[in-house]
Amino acid sequence: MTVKVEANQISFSYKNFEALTNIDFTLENGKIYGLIGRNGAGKTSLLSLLAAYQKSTSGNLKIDGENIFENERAMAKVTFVHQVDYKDEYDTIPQFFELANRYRPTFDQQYAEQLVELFQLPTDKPLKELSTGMQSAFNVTIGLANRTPLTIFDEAYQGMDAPTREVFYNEILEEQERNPRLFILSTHLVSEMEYLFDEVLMIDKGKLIVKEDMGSLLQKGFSITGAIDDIEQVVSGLQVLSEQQLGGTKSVMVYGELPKEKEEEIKQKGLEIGSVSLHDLFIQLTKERNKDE
Amino acid sequence: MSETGKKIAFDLYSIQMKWVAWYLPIVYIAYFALVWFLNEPEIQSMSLLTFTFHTATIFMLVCGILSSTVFLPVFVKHGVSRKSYFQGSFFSAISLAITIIGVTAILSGGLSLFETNIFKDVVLSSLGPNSWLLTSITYFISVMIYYSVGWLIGTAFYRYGGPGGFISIVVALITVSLNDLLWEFGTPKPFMGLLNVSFPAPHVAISLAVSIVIATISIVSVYKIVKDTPIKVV
Repeated sequence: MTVKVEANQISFSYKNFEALTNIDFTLENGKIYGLIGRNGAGKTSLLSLLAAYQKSTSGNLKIDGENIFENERAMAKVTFVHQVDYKDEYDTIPQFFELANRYRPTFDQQYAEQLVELFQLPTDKPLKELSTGMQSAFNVTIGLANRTPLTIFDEAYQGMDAPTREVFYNEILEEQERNPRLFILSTHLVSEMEYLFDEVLMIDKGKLIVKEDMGSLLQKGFSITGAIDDIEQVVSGLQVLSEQQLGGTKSVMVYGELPKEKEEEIKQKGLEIGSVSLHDLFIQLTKERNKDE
Repeated sequence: MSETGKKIAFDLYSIQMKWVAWYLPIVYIAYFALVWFLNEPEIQSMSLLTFTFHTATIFMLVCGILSSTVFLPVFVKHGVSRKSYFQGSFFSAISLAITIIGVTAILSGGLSLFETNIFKDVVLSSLGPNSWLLTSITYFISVMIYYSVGWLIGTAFYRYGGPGGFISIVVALITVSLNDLLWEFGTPKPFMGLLNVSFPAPHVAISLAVSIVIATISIVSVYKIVKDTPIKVV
């Protein structure tokens, strides 16, 4: 199973609103991508394009070199899991499995049944009678058992309690070991899910502001703490995301490569360098753009 | 037609046939009850085929509305292209119309063999007493027109919401009224009823040709809307 997703200058507008602007990226098989962004940043729009739910206004979006929209060969490679309104759904889980079996050549019924047991889902009740958390677990079950080369989870955890979310995350990792594919996890629960990501895509106001390997992204963000004057001298010319001051001590969050001479200066002045989490970087990077405007 | 299109045609036909399995017997029972108990000349002279045809127009309209509002998103979510869905839905509708009209025509033919008092005034249709093939074909085309305008309404509401949906209702009313003017079948025609428009029904060949054109235009319009309809993320 090889899959490569390429976006080339993707833009998407609806009702005179530009939801995505000139998005470029290449995603590869065997990796778990974390897609993060604030509410209304354009995450779901981007995922809708990948799943052929929508057509981009301009640019190319391809899977294994083929355009996705209205291309059944490409569409068959994608599963898009999102919240679904089941309030009028009288069908049961086994009936949904029949449908998946019929239209998804890669659907694994046995694995789907294992997941039903794992999530403790009732198979005799119509979906409308399941709790929101159980409905989400059912969506996740379909997403995992479809075993399509590209599997997208868009805030698929809604309503799930913490232990169920943990089962979901573990299952993604185990499934990635057994049948490596390309996962995209769109989430607001950044700190809870960051250990799953191989790479991070960060979207803000329709623009892709970060596409980095998780390790190198975390290396790009760091904090420097020390005396106010020393800190102010050191950070001049660096991209400061946030600053905090307590008495004579100041702590700043910096983003970007640290030049050698700055590294020397920090050592000389005896300042303290600390790491920052993806959660902090997400907050500060998306906040920073707000300040600029 | 693509392999997926064939699969969808079969599946949609199977689902809709479950509805037909309820609908047709109820219509037949209603027909026999009315002919038996109601001493209305209009009912007494109506054949089972014509009676069923009148109800089938509404049945097919509802099937058309449900096609895009219910099934389109389901299939695209399962990796099916809109084109395959369109092909599947179209051929399932044709099969459904043939089944409803065909089964009823056979049953009506069987009834006409019984020389009982109850059916003594029955006339097959306004096209003549022994016009079995012509009546069946025109009824088939007419119910297909109802399916296609239902499909148009469902698709327009799904894609454009309220305003586009209401425009599609107006287009649908004009379309079915126009078809009824060609045939004078007495199918629902709210506009023409209000305006009291009437002109002599044209020759059968012209009516048939125009009806086929109307059905084709409606179905092509549905395809134009469906082919890049966005699927809602809900």
